[in-house]
Amino acid sequence: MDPNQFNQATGDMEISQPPTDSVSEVAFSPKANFLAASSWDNEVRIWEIQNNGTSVGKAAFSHQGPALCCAWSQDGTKVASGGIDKAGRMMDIGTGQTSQIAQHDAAIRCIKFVEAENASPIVATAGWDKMLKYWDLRQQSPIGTVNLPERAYAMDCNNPLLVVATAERKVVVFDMANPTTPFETVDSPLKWQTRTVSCFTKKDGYAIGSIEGRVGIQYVDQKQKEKAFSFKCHRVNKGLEAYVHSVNSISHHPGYGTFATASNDGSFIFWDKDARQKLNPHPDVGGPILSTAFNGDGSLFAYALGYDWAQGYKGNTGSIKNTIMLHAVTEQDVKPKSK
Amino acid sequence: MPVCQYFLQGKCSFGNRCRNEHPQSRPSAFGQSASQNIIQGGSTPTSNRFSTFSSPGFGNQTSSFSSFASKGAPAAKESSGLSADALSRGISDRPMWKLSCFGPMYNKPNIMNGTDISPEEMRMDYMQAASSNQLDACERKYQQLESEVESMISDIKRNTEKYAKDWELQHGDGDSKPKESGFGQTNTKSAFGSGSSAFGSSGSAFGSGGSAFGAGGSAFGTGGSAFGTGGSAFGAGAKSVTFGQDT
Repeated sequence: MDPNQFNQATGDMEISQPPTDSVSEVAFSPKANFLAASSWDNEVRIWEIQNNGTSVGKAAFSHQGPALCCAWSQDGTKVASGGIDKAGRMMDIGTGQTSQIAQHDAAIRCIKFVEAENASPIVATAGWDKMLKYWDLRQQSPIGTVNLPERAYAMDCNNPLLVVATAERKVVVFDMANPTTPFETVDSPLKWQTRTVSCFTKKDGYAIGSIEGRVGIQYVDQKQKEKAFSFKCHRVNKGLEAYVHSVNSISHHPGYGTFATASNDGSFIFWDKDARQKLNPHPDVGGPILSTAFNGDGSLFAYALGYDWAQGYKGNTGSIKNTIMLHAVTEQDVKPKSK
Repeated sequence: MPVCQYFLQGKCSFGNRCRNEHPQSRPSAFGQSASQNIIQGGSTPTSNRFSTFSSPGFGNQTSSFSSFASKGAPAAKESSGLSADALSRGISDRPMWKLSCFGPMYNKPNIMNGTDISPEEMRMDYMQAASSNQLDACERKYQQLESEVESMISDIKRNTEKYAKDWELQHGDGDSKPKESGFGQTNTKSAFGSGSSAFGSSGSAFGSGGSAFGAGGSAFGTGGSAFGTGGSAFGAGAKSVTFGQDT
């Protein structure tokens, strides 16, 4: 183990050979401890994570511009990514072959594999061209297309629930039994720009995060709508001023259904929405957090650090390190307080 | 004497005996909005308070989590309508990222529209400007956009009554259910498009003979949704919203 990779303050392990520019998304394979990360340095990288938290770079492929998103197929054999080059690309882990699998008229901001377990892979891409497209990897043309109300900003899928959040606070919900007709289109429960969405582990709703240090808990079934609520987080007081940070990422624990929020305030926090309890905060991890992900069994939590352009161009001074950290998940982090 | 942080959050138990200052109605150098944020108790505690909040014994008290739960949610329970006061409070709660739209109410449309730019879009813009040697112009553009947003917000703050009323007329009816026409707006820049997919409404292209998804039913689900009493998992009375009703 390289001692330089171990962060004494947090107890977390740094990835080996991190990307050379900001990470846009991290994603774990559902089947093995392989981590993928898309980056503004145009690359999508894949590492194997060992039990002791060390990592080995396994593969990488490039876009013709910054890569904005990445995702794994349900069977863990493929990694797909989208980027500013308006292309969706994919690597088959077994063969090492890469191919282009999708095309939009503007940057592809979000990508997910949306097939049910044991079905053949279907990729959903959502872009700044206000389109959501479905691809079955065997054809050049999409098998389905949906007009979104605005540019896609965030997307998550936990089959059969797919949620796309767009600019101007719109949220479009799909039931994968009917993938090209929105189940409902609503306005965000939050007041300002949406940053992230994450489907509940139980698939009956989603959490939505915004730039205003707030998370909304939403249910899709009419009968559960009353349970919805929102809460503030990642707001930092310094003297009389309140700094309202962005919730950049929300990830749900695959087993417990509790979730983590992560922010450019440099912290990630675990929550139990059913007991309405904050479970375990991890402040001051060393920089703004851009993206997070749990592995398949919820024992590992990856978070990417780097500059998220919250301060615009001027703030890109290069003083914030771009890297990915691996956190060994504890019961205190994720075990629900509710029954 | 330093200002008492606990007093600002309404939590100082020392009261008059406190050694730190309890500002009464001293005008804040930072303006109304900052002190309002603090008084609402929406702050994240500093790190030495985390351990208190996360201890198991904290359990059934009003947890820090539930105290964050917005009073505005769910909309069905609150009195319908957007008050000038609620609008003022909402728009004064400014995030650090400035290029954003703004909606004053839970699950309701924007009152400030067309101003949403994500950090990623801005970054791409700068990247492209840098490669064509136009960084200065790009910088000026974003300064301009920011000041436009500030003007809009100032205007709303100066005329909260009017904005609240106008917005109410357009969008407010106290009904919290997602409405099919709930998002029609005259000033939106987006085109909703032609509604459902290019393939048409019924008879999914997915299922017409030799479907890519295999025999019968969509590969997306196991023939119908994974749970629920027959029919959509999303419950009875699920509405299907189509775009394009209010272009």
